[in-house]
Amino acid sequence: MATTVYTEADQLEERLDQRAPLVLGGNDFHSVTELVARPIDRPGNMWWPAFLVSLTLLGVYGVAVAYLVWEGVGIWGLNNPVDWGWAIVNFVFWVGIGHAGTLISAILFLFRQKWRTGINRAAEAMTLFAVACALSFPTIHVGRVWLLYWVFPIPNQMAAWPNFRSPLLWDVFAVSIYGTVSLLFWYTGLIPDLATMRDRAKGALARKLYGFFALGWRGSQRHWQNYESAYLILAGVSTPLVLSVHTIVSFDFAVSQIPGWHTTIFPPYFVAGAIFSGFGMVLTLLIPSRIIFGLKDLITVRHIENMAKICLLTGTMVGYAYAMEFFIAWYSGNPYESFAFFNRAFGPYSWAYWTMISCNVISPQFFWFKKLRTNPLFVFIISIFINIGMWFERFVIAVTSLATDFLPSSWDYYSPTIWDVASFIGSFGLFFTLFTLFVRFVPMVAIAEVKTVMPQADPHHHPAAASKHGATVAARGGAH
Amino acid sequence: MKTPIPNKAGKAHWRSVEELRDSPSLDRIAELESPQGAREFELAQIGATRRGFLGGGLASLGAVAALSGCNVVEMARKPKEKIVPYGNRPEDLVPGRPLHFATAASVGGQVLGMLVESQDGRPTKVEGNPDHPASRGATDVFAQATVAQLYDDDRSRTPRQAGRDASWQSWDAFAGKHFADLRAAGGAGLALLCEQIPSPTWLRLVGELRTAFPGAKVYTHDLAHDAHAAAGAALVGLTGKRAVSDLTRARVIAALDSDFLGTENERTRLSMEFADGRRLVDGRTESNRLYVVEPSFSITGAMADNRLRLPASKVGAFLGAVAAKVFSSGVQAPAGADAVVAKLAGGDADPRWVDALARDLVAHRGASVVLVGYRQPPEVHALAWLLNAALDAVGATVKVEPRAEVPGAGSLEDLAKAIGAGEVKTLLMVGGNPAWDAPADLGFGALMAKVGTTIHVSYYADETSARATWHVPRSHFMEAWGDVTAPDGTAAIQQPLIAPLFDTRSEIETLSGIIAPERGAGYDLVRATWAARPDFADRWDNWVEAGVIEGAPAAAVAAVAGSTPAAAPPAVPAFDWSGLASSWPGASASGGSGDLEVVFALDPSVLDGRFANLGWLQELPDPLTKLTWDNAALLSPATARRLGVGNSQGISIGSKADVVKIEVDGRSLAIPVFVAPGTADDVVVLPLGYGREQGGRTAAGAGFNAYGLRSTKAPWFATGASLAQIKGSYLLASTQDHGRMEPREGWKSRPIVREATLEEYGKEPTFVEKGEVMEASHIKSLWEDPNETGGLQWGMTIDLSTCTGCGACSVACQAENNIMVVGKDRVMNGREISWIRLDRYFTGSEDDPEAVVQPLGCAHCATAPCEGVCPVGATIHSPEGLNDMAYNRCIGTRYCANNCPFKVRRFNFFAFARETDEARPLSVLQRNPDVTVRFRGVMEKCTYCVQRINQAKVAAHVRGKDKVQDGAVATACEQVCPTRAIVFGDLNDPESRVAKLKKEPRNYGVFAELNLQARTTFLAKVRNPNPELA
Repeated sequence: MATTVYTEADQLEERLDQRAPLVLGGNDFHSVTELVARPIDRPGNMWWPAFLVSLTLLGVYGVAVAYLVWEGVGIWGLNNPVDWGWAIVNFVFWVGIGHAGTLISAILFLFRQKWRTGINRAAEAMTLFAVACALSFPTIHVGRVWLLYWVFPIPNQMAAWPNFRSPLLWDVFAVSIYGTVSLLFWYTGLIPDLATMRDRAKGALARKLYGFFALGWRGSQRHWQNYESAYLILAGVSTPLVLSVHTIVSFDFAVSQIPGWHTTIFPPYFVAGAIFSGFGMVLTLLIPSRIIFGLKDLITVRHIENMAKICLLTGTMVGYAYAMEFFIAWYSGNPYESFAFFNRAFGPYSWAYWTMISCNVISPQFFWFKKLRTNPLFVFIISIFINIGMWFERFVIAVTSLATDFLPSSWDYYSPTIWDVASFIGSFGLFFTLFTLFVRFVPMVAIAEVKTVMPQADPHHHPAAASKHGATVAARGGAH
Repeated sequence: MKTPIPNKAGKAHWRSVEELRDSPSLDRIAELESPQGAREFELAQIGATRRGFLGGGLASLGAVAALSGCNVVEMARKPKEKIVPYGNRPEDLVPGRPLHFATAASVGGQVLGMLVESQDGRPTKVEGNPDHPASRGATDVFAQATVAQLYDDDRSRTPRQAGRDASWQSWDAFAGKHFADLRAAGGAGLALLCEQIPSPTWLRLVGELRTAFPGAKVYTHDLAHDAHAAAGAALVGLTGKRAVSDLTRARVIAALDSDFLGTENERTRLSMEFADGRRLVDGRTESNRLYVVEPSFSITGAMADNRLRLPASKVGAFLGAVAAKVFSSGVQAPAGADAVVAKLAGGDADPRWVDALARDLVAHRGASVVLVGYRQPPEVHALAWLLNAALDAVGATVKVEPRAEVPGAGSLEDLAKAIGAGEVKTLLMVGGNPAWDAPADLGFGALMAKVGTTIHVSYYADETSARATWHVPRSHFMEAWGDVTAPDGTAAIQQPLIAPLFDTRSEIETLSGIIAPERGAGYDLVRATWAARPDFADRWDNWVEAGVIEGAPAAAVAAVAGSTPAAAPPAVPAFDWSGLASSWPGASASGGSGDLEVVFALDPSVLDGRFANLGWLQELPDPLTKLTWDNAALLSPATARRLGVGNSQGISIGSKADVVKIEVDGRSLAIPVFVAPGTADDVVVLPLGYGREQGGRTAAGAGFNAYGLRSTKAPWFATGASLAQIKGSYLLASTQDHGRMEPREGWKSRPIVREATLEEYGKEPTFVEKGEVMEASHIKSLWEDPNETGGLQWGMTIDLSTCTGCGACSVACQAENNIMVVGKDRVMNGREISWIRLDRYFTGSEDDPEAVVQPLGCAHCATAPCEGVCPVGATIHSPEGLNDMAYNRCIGTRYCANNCPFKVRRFNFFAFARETDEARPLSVLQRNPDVTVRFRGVMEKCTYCVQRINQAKVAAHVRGKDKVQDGAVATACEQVCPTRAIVFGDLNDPESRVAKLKKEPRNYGVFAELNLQARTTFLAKVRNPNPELA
């Protein structure tokens, strides 16, 4: 089957009469399947080293957690005014990262942003792994881990019941619901691809396992109809969650009365920051992945550019929030709040504050320039800055506010210990172990979905007659 | 009751009698008795043969029947360990209800009457004896820590000979022979060196020793003893007498280098009287005025209305100038004092200060008092006598009382001379630690080697014991009979509460054994002393029970001490000023020359080092510097700048300090420096008592030994010192590094401690309202306010005008509430656990600041920010307004601590309690059984001593009352407070003290703008500075 070969130049050319192609190269349906399945068939030389490094880091996490449970949270750098340190910073950091996936799959789906198909699978997987990392931190950070189940409303002989007024309890529900729905959403989207993997699996075990998880998918019309409905419903359900989760996470801070935490701007500001950090992490993961796994045709520079634009938007929103916090701190006349913000920028933690500002507000501004945002290497570097900056944002919020709050007599400087660092680094072990397993066993691009945005998916598509531009017009799918 | 049955047929588990159908007799019994209960009965552990079951199990079934309705399953699982209940309960002993025994002791140089709580025979908590005039119901930090000392695992447990454990038999054998030989030789070569033991029985025994060993010499050495005051009194013809100040009548108090609220003798009584003179309640607008002239910042200095920083060497000259001014302003010098007056001169003392102070003293003639501290040389004390006599203070604010001290005792220098001359063959040392704390130029440790036999009687096998031929362990005062005389002459019996934990003897038992080996028991020795009183037979039991011996104590003491019983001494004694005239100005009374002055200070936590092994006190922050676990060379900011040394400033608890070498007179000391605002310029303050070498495990590694710099010539301050930075740095743990209420320079001070002068208070009694961040009418809640009005509603006020910041509340809380010591490293990590801490803020300029202290425990906010955020509801509000902690429910999210604006919640970051139990098993005996010992991973905080509240409520209910009478509940901090600054009670009772205090215009809540509705509120601080010195 002859196909039109699209190039990056075609894609990046902004035309009014047609949409940019989403799949480059001369791919057809079969070659797309092969392209995506190739890393699973032949993982290449890089996979094992990557996996082992990740596993080692996971081991570090295991040791850090085991020692923590054995000794107590005193092994961390926590002190009396700063009772939440890196564990909570890491929790918020990972939850934030976990926002991009569902945003891409749900909100962009509802907005008919077809470019999402190239990246949604990996982004959603990243979301799940990030949420797993995130959930691990509030679990281990409590003083008595073995009693954590008391936060769940489980009827018990002690007649003890959780306190529904506590934002931490809202967290429990918000994050676990988000995790559950994200998993369902991801899994639903996976079913047709799992069936594809089943059908092309060579080993008996692989066939059995893919077959088990494919839930008997045969690609019938009815299957597709149910699938589409389920997907749409889940997208609808997920959409408010994208906004609610980080809103509720922000309540952990905003509902308290600590100056620097007690601000109404937190929910939108946290959501914007979460999307910002999530896209930063998607970029960090996919820019190397598309090269390593040969997916440049599916995860194109156009995708990277779009994500860079979102980073620019959300990064600027976050910058606006930083500025507005300062303005309100002054304008409110609240002496505690004005000091808290002044102290952030000019106090003992100013180094953290200016790291945050440089990474989160200044670095995405480079994305105003098309040349820069279409340069994958440059975008990758900035994405790393975004990751760093967003971690520091949470550090600045959590630690500086606590270290110097109402009562000057109790102020104390917080410094992490080796165990804080080990658990943070270790959580990347958990994240990358899951991610390397994901790229090894699960199609990292949604094969079925990508095919729907290819010109060939259009019933009127005539490959022979298609000119380069005309075909795209015909294949524009939902552009009516 | 149940005996395990031999298991012959293998272990058979059965759940009900139906399973043993083939046993008709059992069926019948089961039916007859309690079939329901029997069916549930689980006997998993009991063996299988039916016959065996019938033999062993029938009785069980009977018990089950009797207890039907109980959870029999649980019953059956109880451990099979026999317990023996009291067949005959000892009278007065209700298990679980503590008893209180009166006792009295000299603790850290101060005599206190005490009521000690005994839980099932274990002394656990010290309270002041309200009937004893030296304590009046209060105590101090040291007395609070004596229970910890009792259970100190490091205390000496056995006699030691030449550094090796020995038995009492070997000691008795040695002592019997050695002292018999000595006695035969007329006691020649025997020297007794003892600390000040103001005990009639001790004094009687020392008298007996002198009789039995006529050649024996007696010396005393005690850093906590006011030796200079005694010498000063002797200079004015009052040998063996002391000044006992009565501050209740004092309107103007001039404290010259006198920390009479902190480390001086009689601190507890003086604190109370001082506070009574400035308690601005019930419309009182009068306050005494305290002038403090001192080199280091003490809590007395922090309480001062006017404070002058002055090197210790210039205090004498300053007082001389004040005296000159007083006598030149028309005050008649006492008869015979003209020669002294002629020698007084103005000198270079600050004339504004001299004028103002002299004018105020004269204006309040008869109601003023001049106090001079232990550091100042005798002639300064003598001059204070002159001023007090001239200003009619003697007889009014100063009373003259005899000292309960060994008459004619020599000093440590005298002893050193005698040893040097080879006159001492046997040296008996009782208490003290002279090998460690003697002036360095004596080289006392080396001198000890020159004495043939050295014996040290002490609590710990310490530095002196290690060098002595014999170490004899000494009983704690709670383990031994004794008696003590307070400075005002009040005598009391020291009653033991427990048999000696280790095989120890009290000092009177040991001394008595030396005099006459056949006598011994402390009880008999004490009774023998008091048998001299005619009412002894009738009153002994009352004396022991009440903790105070009534009657004319001074005469009785004099009688038993072997001196002439005096008739009631005249109010104004006969002074002899010639001694002062010849010695003034003494060498050290004039301002010394030299670059830098070193000032030694008794430490507010460990005093002279005798309390160095008590974790409670090591971890108690210094009232002003907030240093824990260490001492440091304290410098004023200006001096530190000038010398180019300092410690890291910032908000970190751990402060990196430069290490310096201080040289005085050829002796040197390496010690970290700490910048302490309020220290006099060109002065280095060196707290004593740290750097113990053999002080026990807790004392090891804590601080630096400043004794190496002391000399007989300059025991308390030395001029001409030099200081140079040396390599290295040292981490100091100061629990409060940001010392001001302004969050940052140039920012407005936060209204945490509100303060005004008496004048301002008079003009505007409601001045505290100016401090509010938000007008009360603007503070609104989104929700209905918690409706806590019924029944009992607990609340507290803390009067910042009278709180001296001594820290007794903090230690009392620790003793009452099983609060753990965490150690220096963890203090530096911000993990200290103190339920009530003392925040100290400097006000005014950095170079000449004032300081305010604020005790802060949980404020029990009605709308507590901690409660809402706990996900498991582990901290909840009680209907009585308490913010309760359910430790067992806490999972340790620490959100509550984050959200607490007062930062009074403390977290168990590690298993502090378990670590303590393992390292110091005896300390477990001190625990209060009514308070949960907190485990790892839970939050804890002040409970308002809920266990005491509940005891009081039970007691009220037993009497058929719903209300608890005001005063029936005292929190531990309230009870110990020597100034009665803390008042706790029922807010719903309009007659309660606390309810009335809450109506005082000075009452305010910290962070009221957060709508906390805190139950602990503060009464603002009012100082009464002299307007002339403004």
